[in-house]
Amino acid sequence: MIKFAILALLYQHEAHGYEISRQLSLTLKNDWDIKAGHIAVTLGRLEQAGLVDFRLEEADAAPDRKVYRLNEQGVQALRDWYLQAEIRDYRMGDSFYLKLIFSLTGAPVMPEEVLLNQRRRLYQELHQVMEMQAQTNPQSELPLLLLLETVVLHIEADIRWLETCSQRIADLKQYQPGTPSPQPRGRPRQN
Amino acid sequence: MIIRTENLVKQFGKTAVLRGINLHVQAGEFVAVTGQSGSGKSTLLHLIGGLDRPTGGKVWLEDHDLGTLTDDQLAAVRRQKIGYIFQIYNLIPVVNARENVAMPLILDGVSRKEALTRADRVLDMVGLNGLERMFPAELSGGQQQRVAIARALVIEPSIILADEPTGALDTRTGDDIMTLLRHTLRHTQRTVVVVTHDPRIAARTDRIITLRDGMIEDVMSLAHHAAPSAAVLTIQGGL
Repeated sequence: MIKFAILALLYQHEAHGYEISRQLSLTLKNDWDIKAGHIAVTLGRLEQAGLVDFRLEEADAAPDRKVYRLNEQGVQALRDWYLQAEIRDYRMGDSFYLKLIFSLTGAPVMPEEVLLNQRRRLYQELHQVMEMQAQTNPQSELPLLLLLETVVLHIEADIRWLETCSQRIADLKQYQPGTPSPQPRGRPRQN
Repeated sequence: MIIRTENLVKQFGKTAVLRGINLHVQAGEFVAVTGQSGSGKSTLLHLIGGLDRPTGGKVWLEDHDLGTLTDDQLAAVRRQKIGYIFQIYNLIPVVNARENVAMPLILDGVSRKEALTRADRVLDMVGLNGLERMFPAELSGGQQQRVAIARALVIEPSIILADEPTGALDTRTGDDIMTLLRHTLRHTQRTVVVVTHDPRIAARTDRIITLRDGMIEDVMSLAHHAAPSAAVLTIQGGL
């Protein structure tokens, strides 16, 4: 992911590693904790992959710095990335999903409790994120505001999904997964 | 305790819409009542606001036991203590914003001049400075709801009751209205009960009461200064 963030920046202007790291945190208005070393390694890989070129810049009393720029291949790779739509990972196997399914078929707690607890947690989460959102400056902190908005919408969707489950709880409790058919034990007998 | 209900029951014909609600709201609290359609949330709001009378149980507003009041006394309590905000703004189309807001005061015997001065002050508070002389049809949905909020606030009620106040607005405008309500109420120490099926609205209050089939299913307090949540931490962790 950071690879494309670097390409995206280099498309806008050439830069050396330290500039890239500073510009990334500035643009994304985020507590960016990617190490400078990580960026240097990624730049090396991009160079090997033939997506960026560099020139050496003399610095006073320090080794020469590599100033990177995007080449034609890099621009093409960046274009492909921009135009490739992304699908969210819905994680069928997430922990809450497992709790819900197993609680339906017999558990030390009722599925209603599982749903209610999750709902409370999501509402706390939604409350906090919306508080943060209300305190975010719509101009200077735009990237954070957009990110918070997607979090809000996803939590909202999860709450609505829980409500659908609660409404249908009587039906859900009828779920019978069936039992695995018996398999012969031990080594297959030879005739 | 500013609002209290005891074993509140409401039946329409043979259908029990509320089946024993015990609700307590403290002065200055911002409470959401949520639940699916048909869970009884609007009916509960109507009973608390004295717009309808219960089949059984009691409602207290401050020191008034609403069940013991005559219709006239109940109307007086409604007029003086409660500000209502509805999904449809119920503004009078033929008079302008400030006259709409001044109306409850004029009906309560305040002089026209003073009523309009107070209306202007409240319109300013809800961010409609300069639009006082516009007619409802000349205002956007969000602005009309601001006028309706101003009209609810102008009588300086101790309680605001809101039924799906952002239901007719787009998300962004709805968020702005909630921010306005929260901000205004924090500064004036009003108590608010808002009925909503929208998680986004409910999440911005202090406490959420969830109804299911005419009974309270859950009550949850929303902490203001809890530790940063998992989602927030993820956001700050970067890509």
